[in-house]
Amino acid sequence: MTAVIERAINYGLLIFFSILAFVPIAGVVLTAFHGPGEPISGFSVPDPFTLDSFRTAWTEGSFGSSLVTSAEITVTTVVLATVFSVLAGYAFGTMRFRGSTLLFYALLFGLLMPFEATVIPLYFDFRRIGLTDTIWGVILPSTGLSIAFGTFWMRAFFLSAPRSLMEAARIDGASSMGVLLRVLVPYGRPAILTMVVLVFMWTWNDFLLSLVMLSGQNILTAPLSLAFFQAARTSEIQLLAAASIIVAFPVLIVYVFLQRHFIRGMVSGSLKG
Amino acid sequence: MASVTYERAAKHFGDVIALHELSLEITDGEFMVLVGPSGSGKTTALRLLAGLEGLSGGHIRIGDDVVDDMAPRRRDIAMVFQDYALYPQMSVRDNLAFGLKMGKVPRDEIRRRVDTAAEALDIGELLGRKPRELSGGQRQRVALGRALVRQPRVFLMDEPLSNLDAKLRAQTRGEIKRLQQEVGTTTVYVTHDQVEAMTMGDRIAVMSQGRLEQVGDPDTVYSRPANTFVAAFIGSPSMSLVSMSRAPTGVLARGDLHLPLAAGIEGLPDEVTVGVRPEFCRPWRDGETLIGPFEGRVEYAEALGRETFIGVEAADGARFVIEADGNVRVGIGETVRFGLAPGELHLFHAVTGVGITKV
Repeated sequence: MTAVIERAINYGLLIFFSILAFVPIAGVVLTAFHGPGEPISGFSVPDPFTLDSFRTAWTEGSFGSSLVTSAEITVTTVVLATVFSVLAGYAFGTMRFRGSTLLFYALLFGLLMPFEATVIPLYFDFRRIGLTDTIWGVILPSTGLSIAFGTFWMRAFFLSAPRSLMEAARIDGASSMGVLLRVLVPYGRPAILTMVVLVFMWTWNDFLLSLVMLSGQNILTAPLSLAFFQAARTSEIQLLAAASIIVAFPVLIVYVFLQRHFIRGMVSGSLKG
Repeated sequence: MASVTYERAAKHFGDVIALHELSLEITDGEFMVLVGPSGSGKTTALRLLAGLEGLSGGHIRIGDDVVDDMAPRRRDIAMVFQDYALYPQMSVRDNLAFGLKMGKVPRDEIRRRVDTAAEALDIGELLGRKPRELSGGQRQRVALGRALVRQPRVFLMDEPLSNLDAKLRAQTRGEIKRLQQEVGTTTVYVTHDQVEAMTMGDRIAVMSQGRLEQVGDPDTVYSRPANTFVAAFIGSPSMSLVSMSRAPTGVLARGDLHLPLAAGIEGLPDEVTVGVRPEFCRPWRDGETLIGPFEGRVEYAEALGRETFIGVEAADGARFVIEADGNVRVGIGETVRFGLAPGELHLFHAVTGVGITKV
């Protein structure tokens, strides 16, 4: 009997919080399917369903080019951050070398430092070397930030990987790089893909850094153009809703493709493979 | 194939000495078992040989090569790990082939060697599976196969049977020994199980607290233990060890317990430890040539069917284990009479534990 009650409570809580999370999203989606110019009050079902708001938002907000820019920035950041994080995490997690503790704490400091504190000095530095208003002005800082987290994340994974696996590969004739690429990377795919999803999400959604670095408005990232679009169109909420969905869509796609690994990566600490 | 030589090999972890200067020569083709309780340094000795730990002092040679600073992959060795360490994302075939691929062995040769090893270990059916789809015993065989296909100079095995159940362990024990004899590869085998040591080793090296206590063939180590540690560690149930004092009359005494042994032994200290294995500590029967009789109070009895081990407390707290034939029923607290077989009693120095003689 208690088991049944417990189950009911569990389900009740889960359903409640699911609704809490789902309702605003449903609101945005429903709103976006209204035609532009239709009067909307609160939570209303569109009649008829139309993609007109998406079309209008797409052309007027010129999201095409900003999505491409965001994609360039995000993909480059994810690739660079993943390569460097895996390599650095491998070193910190499996090798003993002089100064490793100190270096690791220096890296952690990068994680603890609020980014808002550094972004303005960074802007002046970058302006001096001519990197503002270029995508590299965003890629380099976000790669740096992601590496701090990624190294921390990958180090934890490499520390938890069975030592005998690495030792077996070393005895079998693999070099340090061979051990990493042939044994540990395939073994650690869930952890690596989780990191990829997180870094992708953070970089894609970044606003402050691109706002500061791309102040000339020649290049815009998707969240930036969403903000400008929003400032210009405060009253047309169906257009805003459609624009939000356009900007959020890529993250959703990446998450859907990698979610199985993502969840495995998140829980891999508590489960034995 | 090659010999293996430890020359005063030592390993320290900070202030902890994991291995004191170990000197040990393992001949070409020999099956050497390093046996000892945990913390005895046996695994450290093996890992030093593998190159997974660096030496703190001394040298290790494989054949004529000094391997002190050589990377593991250049040592031409293969190792079987306690947890098998199979590559989880690779099929059994790829697990077996991994070392050969790393060694740039031609494709045909790899296929041939993997198939031969799979056949020898009866894992041909499993070649397409992933390690997680295998039972513990099957994983163990794959781990052995991975070492076998390499055809290395030395096999290193780190407690490879400890994760198997008792029956499978006994079976695999014989199989490893058979395979090793077939290929004739020098093998260093680490275990804490003295039964494995006794049944598998050409020679066994008994270790304790980072030191080599005795090395010899199983029979010698069993019948002529160098000291009380080896005497107690090898053999199951353990040898009974009783400290006794030398009386002026030439007997060794403890309370009412008198052994007429000390006569004629030169340099016998005043205090000795007398050791006797259960099979030489028998229930008393008139007419048998045993030293005794002695009386002891039964503390426990283990009837194994073919024999019964009876633990007794004799005079002044001296404890013995008696081996009786067949299924013997005795109650705890009963008094039994027993005798010791002459010629099978070990005398050890009471302070240092070093063996003196056998009487």
